Amino acid sequence: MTLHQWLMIAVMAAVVIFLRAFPFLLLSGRKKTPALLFYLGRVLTAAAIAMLVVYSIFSVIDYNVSGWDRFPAALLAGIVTAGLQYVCRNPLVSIICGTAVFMLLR
Amino acid sequence: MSAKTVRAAFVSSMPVLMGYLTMGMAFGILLSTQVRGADGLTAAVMSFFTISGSMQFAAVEMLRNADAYSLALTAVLALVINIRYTVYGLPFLRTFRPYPRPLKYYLIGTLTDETYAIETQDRRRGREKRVYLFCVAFFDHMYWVVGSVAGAVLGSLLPFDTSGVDFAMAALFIVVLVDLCRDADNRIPAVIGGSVTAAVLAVFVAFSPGHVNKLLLPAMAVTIALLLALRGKLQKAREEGK
Repeated sequence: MTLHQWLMIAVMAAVVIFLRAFPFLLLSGRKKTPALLFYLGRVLTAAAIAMLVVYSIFSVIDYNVSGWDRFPAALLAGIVTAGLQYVCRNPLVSIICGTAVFMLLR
Repeated sequence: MSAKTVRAAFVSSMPVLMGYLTMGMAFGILLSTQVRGADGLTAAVMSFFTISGSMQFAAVEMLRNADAYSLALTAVLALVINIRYTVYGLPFLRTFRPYPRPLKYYLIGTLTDETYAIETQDRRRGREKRVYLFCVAFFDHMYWVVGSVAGAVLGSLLPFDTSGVDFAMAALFIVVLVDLCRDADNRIPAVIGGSVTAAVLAVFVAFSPGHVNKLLLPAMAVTIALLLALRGKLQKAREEGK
């Protein structure tokens, strides 16, 4: 762990704490949330998670080492994970099975 | 402090106990196997102060490629990944007011998705409610820290072949996305975020494959711009759906 990594951890924690405190800092007097912020809060979570899905699938295939070779395995494992979660609604089962599929096929 | 209220808080937090211990362990195992030099202490510090699964799983990826992330980029990504927290405090603006200041700050700092979900469901009043909310927040917080440290220790003890286990991170995001998309309002934003990222990724792979790890910031900028441009349509669609 380098100093830079510890500073990253501190920055992340500070941002999260700031966001949680945000309404208390800004709105304790007011009744309504600024509409734009409320809108972004609603839509950005799903957009950001979808972004992380694409990015993390790309990172696990290790493109700079093996090109697109592992992409089919990652795609299939992703479909298994999503399908299981859609049907069974059990995050742990979905994650373990999806990861096992990827580890076996890669 | 009434034992009955404490017990009620514990019972309410039982689903979170299972969830946080397992998720926390998954986080700890990933952290200690993916980030060189990360151990139980690292996991404890992160989980104690951040208490956010989505942030911490993304953090594993970021810490692993720490060179690619300046502190400014780290802050922007943290802001974007966790922007939803800005609305979690709204129902509690008044509820938290009677607490002594340190306790009030503690309750604000521990408002996770799950704690928020439990606390907004509570119908108690007065002192009972104050004890209950604090206990729920404290129990959930501890489950998360204990699970993370246990995972980190386990990850560093077991010398198993972990190649491919990093897919668990992708799987976690997929699971969260599937659950979010059960709500129709989230589907268009999810499609926008996913396709913009895929497009930016394609551009990076074509022109500068060595810098693909820097794609999140431009992808995020384009996504936010698109979401703001489509604001009118998305809000209209939601109102018509209701």
